[in-house]
Amino acid sequence: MEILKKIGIRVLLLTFIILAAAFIYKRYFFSDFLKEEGHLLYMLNRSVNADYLFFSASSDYTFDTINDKDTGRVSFLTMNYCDKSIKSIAEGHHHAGVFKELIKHIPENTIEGIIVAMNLRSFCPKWLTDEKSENALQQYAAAYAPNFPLVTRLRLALKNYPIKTESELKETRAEYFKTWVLPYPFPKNNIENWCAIEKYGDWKNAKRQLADHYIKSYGFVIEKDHIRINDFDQIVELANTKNLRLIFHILPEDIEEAQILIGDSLTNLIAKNRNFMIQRYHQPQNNVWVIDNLEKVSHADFTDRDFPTEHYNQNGRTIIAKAIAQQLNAIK
Amino acid sequence: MLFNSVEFLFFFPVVIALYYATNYKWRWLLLLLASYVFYGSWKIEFLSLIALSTLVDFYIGKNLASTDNSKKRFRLLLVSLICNLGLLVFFKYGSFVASFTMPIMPIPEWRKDQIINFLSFDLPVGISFYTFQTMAYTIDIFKRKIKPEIHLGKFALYVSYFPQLVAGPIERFNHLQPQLLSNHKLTYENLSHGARLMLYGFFIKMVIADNIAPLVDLIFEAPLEYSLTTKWVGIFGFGWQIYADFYGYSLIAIGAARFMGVELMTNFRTPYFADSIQDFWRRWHISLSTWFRDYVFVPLGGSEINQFIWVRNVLVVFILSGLWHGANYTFIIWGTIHGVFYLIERFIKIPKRSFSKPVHWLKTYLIVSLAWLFFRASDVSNANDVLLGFHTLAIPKTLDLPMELILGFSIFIVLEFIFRKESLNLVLNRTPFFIRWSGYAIVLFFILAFSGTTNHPFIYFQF
Repeated sequence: MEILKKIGIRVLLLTFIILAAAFIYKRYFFSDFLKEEGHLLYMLNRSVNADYLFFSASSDYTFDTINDKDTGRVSFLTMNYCDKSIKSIAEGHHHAGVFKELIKHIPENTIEGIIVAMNLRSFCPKWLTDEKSENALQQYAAAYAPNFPLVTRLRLALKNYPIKTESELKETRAEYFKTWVLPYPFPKNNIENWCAIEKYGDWKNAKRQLADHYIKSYGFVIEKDHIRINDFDQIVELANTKNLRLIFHILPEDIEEAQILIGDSLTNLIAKNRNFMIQRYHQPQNNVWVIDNLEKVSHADFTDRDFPTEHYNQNGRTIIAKAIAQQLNAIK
Repeated sequence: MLFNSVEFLFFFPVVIALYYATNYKWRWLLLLLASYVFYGSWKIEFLSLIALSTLVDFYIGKNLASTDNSKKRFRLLLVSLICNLGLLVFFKYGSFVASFTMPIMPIPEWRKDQIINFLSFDLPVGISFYTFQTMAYTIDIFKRKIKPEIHLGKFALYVSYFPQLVAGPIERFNHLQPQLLSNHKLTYENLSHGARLMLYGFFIKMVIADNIAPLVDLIFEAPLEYSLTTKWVGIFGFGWQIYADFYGYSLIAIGAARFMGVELMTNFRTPYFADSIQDFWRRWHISLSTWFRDYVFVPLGGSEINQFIWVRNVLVVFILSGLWHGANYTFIIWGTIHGVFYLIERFIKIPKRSFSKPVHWLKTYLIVSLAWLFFRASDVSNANDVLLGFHTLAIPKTLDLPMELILGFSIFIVLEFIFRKESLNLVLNRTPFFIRWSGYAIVLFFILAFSGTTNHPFIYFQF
């Protein structure tokens, strides 16, 4: 009995310390923590006076360092063609899985809507299992999850989010390459076999490497049980709940390069995936629009040449901005 | 399951509650199941390795005790050593050995790649610790120092006892097993002492080690971008990182066992207060250094023989101790530095007077820190860049030390100074309640609010 009494008193003391710590942390430290390790949420908290929030990755702000005269972000350029104020919430490699956690923080009746980048490449096995970014993205998602500040901090400290080792990620990726079935006969029946076709010589050939990247980046069929689809579904649900207009814009891909390197078999897959996304999400009657920019930017307006990316020069970014602005104006 | 994980925060109280609710005759089974759940949570396949090591040493131990035939006894010992060391070599050094043997093998390139890929798997957690523990068991039976365990389940518990399974302390059978099978009563002292050790362990692991780690990583990943002073901050920083990381882990392990009335051996005694390399090894990873002393150094002849063989034995022990940490030349260099300076200190004896103590301390600290450089570096060239490389940027980078790290580290140093002569529990026992609990509140607040957030599992899990 004596021991239980002693333990009871100490448990009460501990509870008091933890509650006090939670209060002190929220009041004095959490904001600084967000600045350092959750800056998109920090930005979001300071952006809810805009009309639209623009959720995107590096496609928003990357530019051609040599030739661009106007290096403005897509989100910023969009404001040139409509009368809405738009604030960018963008960070490299981020995808719908992270955006959905951020969207949960938007207070109701503060903004008109959200614009969310729909990056087809974020569905590919390479992105899902990237050693450099996957664990970091999971960490961001945990940092942005709507919890009490001290709980968020402790979750991050205890690494309470999915963490995979480098070899686990590599293993999963190899598995995807082998088992994701493509709608073509052998050798294009999966990514592994497709990449083994020696159209451009051996592995040291730069063209072969680029073709390989393209197959690995776009050689898949999006299905409704894909993890990213689940994220986009949740974004739609959140937008509905918070009464927000939701504008998805499919990011342009370098289709011309894909056509030259691989041909119809790959570009048809990309188009098929695009159609799936439009069919699933474009519902103006429910305040959800999908802008199809997939083929709007030509090869010359992409800034990277050795890997498929969604990085555009000034002309490319302006094309996207205009298309988004056009949709915003149409809604009005 | 890591100690600093949400899973462990649920797992541990449940195990403790069940432990005291279970009749002591069956506690071994509960602990064995808990230990297997704990270990299997990493990868279920790893359980087969620990089960194999357990089975081999259990039956060899039994057979060793039942025969007086010295040839047979030696053969049995050899089988145990081959099995345990074989596991270790295959999993830990396989890819290292393959990396320099494959280029000279007369087989096709694709087959070489296949073999190297096959051997590049995740190292089974804690394999170096439990294989050393089971080897010590068999060797002790061979030397007739202990009697074997006759119950397979209870022996399996000795091998897999979860608090010390994955990173030690490496316990001897005659110290741990009787405690595991004793009828421990629930006492306030055990709970409070265990909780204090765990709290302090979490503090130094999560606040100190985990906050230093990303800074050290930055420097070692691109040493040529940093100024010389900053690089030395990185070198000293790693010394403190690995200490806080491993000492923190050991304290949590010792504290967790203490909850069950089990006292694990002390693994660290404020090593950075050492005034010689010999003194350092009496304070650092004590369970490993005593293991090497008892099972390598002494069988090789120890110090009771001529000086040449003694020198050889010292170097063998230190180099093996380096190799134990991993398959890389850097670990061998680390061990060799310790070995060479150990010998120099023994041959050139400088009298220790009170006024010269700081000089001895500083010399030891610098040697140990220099050795850590090789331990942390990815390879010799990386170590060279950190130590001697000149920065390549017009304005070299420096590091901003976060205020919470500076404050946490200051608390750590003060506590280290206090605990250098007396253990944590002895000091806290005579500290007034209010001061003690104010201390707990501060430490707990640091853990909750300022723990490192980057993903750095315990360093010694990879060994």
